[in-house]
Amino acid sequence: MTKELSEQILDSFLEELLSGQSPPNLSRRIEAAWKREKARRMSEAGRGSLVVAELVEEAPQTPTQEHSTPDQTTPEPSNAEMSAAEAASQPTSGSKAVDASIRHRPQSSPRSTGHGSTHPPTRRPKTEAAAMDGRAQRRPASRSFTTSRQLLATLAALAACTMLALLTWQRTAPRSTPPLASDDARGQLQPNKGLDGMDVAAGQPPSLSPSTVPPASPSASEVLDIGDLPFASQSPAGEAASATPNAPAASIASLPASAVITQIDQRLAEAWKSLGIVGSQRLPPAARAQRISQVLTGQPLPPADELSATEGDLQPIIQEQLNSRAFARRWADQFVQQWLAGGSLPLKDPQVEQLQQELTHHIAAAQPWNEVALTLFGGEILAGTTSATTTLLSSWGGGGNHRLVSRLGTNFLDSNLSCVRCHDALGGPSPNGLEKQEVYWSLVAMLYGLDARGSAQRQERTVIDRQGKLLAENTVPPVYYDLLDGRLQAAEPRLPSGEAWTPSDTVQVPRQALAVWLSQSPQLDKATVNQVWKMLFGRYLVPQVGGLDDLALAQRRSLQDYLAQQFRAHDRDLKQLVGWLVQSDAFARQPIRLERSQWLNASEEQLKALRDAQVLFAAGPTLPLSETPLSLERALLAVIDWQGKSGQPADSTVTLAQPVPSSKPAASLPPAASKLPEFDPAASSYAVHGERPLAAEIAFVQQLLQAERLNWEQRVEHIVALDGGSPATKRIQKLAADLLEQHDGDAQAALLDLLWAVTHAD
Amino acid sequence: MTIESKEAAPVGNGAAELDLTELVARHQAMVWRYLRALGAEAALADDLTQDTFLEIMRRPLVQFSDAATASYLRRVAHNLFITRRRREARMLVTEHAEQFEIAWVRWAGFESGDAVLDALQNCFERLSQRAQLALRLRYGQERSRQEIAESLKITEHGAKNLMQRAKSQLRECLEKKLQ
Repeated sequence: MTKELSEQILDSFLEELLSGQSPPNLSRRIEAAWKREKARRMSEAGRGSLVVAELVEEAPQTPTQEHSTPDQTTPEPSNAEMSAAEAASQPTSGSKAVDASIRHRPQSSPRSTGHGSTHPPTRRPKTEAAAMDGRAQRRPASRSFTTSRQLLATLAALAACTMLALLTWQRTAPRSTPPLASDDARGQLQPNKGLDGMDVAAGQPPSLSPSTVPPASPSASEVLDIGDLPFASQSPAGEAASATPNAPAASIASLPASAVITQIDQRLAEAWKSLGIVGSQRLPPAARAQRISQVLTGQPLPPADELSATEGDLQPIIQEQLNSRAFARRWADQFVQQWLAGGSLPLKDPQVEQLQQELTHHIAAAQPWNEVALTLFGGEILAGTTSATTTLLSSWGGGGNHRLVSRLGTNFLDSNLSCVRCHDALGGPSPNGLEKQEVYWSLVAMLYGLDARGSAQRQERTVIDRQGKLLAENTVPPVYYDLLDGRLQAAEPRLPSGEAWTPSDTVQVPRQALAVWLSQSPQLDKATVNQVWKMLFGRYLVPQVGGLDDLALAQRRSLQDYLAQQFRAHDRDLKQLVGWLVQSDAFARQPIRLERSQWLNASEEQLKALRDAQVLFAAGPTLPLSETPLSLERALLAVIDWQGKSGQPADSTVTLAQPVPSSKPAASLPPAASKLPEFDPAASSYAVHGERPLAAEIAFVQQLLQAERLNWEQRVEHIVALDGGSPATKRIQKLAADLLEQHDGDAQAALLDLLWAVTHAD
Repeated sequence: MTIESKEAAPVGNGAAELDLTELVARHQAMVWRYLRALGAEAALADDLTQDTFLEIMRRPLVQFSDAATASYLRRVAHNLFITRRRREARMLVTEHAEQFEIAWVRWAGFESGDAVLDALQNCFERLSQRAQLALRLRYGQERSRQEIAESLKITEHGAKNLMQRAKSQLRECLEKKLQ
């Protein structure tokens, strides 16, 4: 996209050079237009004062004012005069021997003749409109000042007139700070709303294309508030959290592993009990040991260890594996995949492999985990050298650094920031308090000056860091962004907590300040807990997007906070955290598999109960759907493939892709089931979980569908953004469109399937 | 971040009309060029340039640096352009505006664009005569590819390649000069 825009800009300069259409001198025209506007406003303000004067005195003696149309107030220079003036004042930046065309060009716009209004019609303020309407009823003015009473009335009228004019002028001027205001202000532009409430800061209120906008209402010109949108609702937790979003975690004592594990088990058990969820069966010791070995080292347990696991204590086995090089390597690999998969650098790139090695050493040496934030964000960027920082920036930097901010949110702040690029989180921010547009753009501003260019495939990816240079030259421009209502807002570089950053000996650029802040933030601890949980259980302990998965949410958040505190108390030892979780009761549960007939014959309530158990980790870890990491594209293809093969499902309540095992011959199946196509094992190796969309997921999709401002592609974007990763590519959009077609235009069904694919993609 | 504030020059009230004139004189060429690069026709660029400064005049603008002012002006201009174009097609404002700003700053920095033109002039003169002619026909006279091919007595495909190579050379030359 940037390349295309770059090409577009080059084209425009070429056109100017070769066609002679150079920038005209519009100074006089602008000045004249401004004078006309000022005169019009003053004259309208003056007319408005007549109404006020009437209220002051029943028999007002108000002076009349000469009315003149804006066109007649200022004599317009003739085109010839303007042309001559412009020619005389043309910037002379070197003679252009190449093209003989002069740089001066007469203005071609009909508006340039000065006739008629030269700017978009401004709605009259209500007070002025009322004044205009009242004019017909106003008594004619009189100039008689013979009596003292009349003199007094006249003076009062004049005073009122002056006050009104001042008031009008004040109301049309902005109250708040312009760009690059003082440090006290947040750089927020509070644009001129105008007397009619219409925002004119950056033009008109958003006027969307007819296909996406409801019919204009009388109040269409009013500023839109996200609170007016159909689905906005403040969550009580969000308000409290935003007050102190980043209070440092209180220092607590580190507890022994057994105590922590007991807490995990107890809290989850209470959550299950409160929802009537019954946990699945526990794995036998040997199977449990094998599972733990697989997740810790990626390798099966040796037979001798399996035997001792059968006999009882798993602790020694687990400790040995946690301290092994295999564990460090595997988990370094998992984290690198989590952080960098889908980025501009392929995972086989030498830089990525170097990062994996550094991370392996870090884990093996049991170094505090928060130091990775310093390594990833605060490292040096020197030409010709690579570091963890250049690797991260090569993967996600560039193009305004939006992908980098999204990844930062998901992986290090435990917040999905993808959605808040355009608006605050709809249900209010999470307890983190970070899901706000203001926070997002402050982070973009903190990363301003960082860029990555070139092709990673050709190993020409270059990371550029201009932050120091921009600061030294004092040429850091503010970052502007659009609010939903069309107003323009300026963002200053601030830390996620809202504090401004301050340079020091060790922190000289905003990027480094961010790295230091991250390494000490409680958000990083919570993000680590959530990520490790997902790596073990297949889904986050606490979803990063509100409103989608709210089963026992408060208990889950409480558990996450507890684990984060203990993690911090244990010097952020990753091995400790992993060890607690693999020894928990939840990790020992068996996944529930349904046979085909069971799935077909299960009632909705049963399938819902099964889903709830999976969501709350009462049915073991969510099994991976594929031997190899499942990209979103593959997940979508599987959905489309399944939908296509099944045709019209026998069970009309099935809306999600549910490949079923065909372990039994068709003859033994119930008659209804035998009409379904046979499962094609080549298509997938999925395990059936009998999934049904959660009520919250259905509600989320319905909210998206009710948002009339969004078109189909933007709804797809919203769902893809739930992953906290890359935005929807053209390929994903195409597949989503195919899915919609397969559902015969049923957008809700298609979006639910898309949601399933996003949730299950790795 | 502490940004040293320079002497702020309030603009837009009666006491500082002179500053306003200077603001227009200093930035109007840049705004106009920016609008043209966005795709505005010349007449529309005239109108929107005027509208941009009128918007600025409606609220006092405290200038802290030329760069900040220029950036703000471009953003206002962009939004005005988007508003005009929104009736025709839907646009993702945020993404497009921001990426366009990034691309623009890469080329012109915070200046008016005169330096780009000078550099472009210089680079253009280094092209072969045929390449110069092809580009002049394309951008100066808005000839079609077929007409350009006929003028140069080459195939249409050849004309396309010739112009692509020429622009690629221009781009490389400009990047070196503007670094």
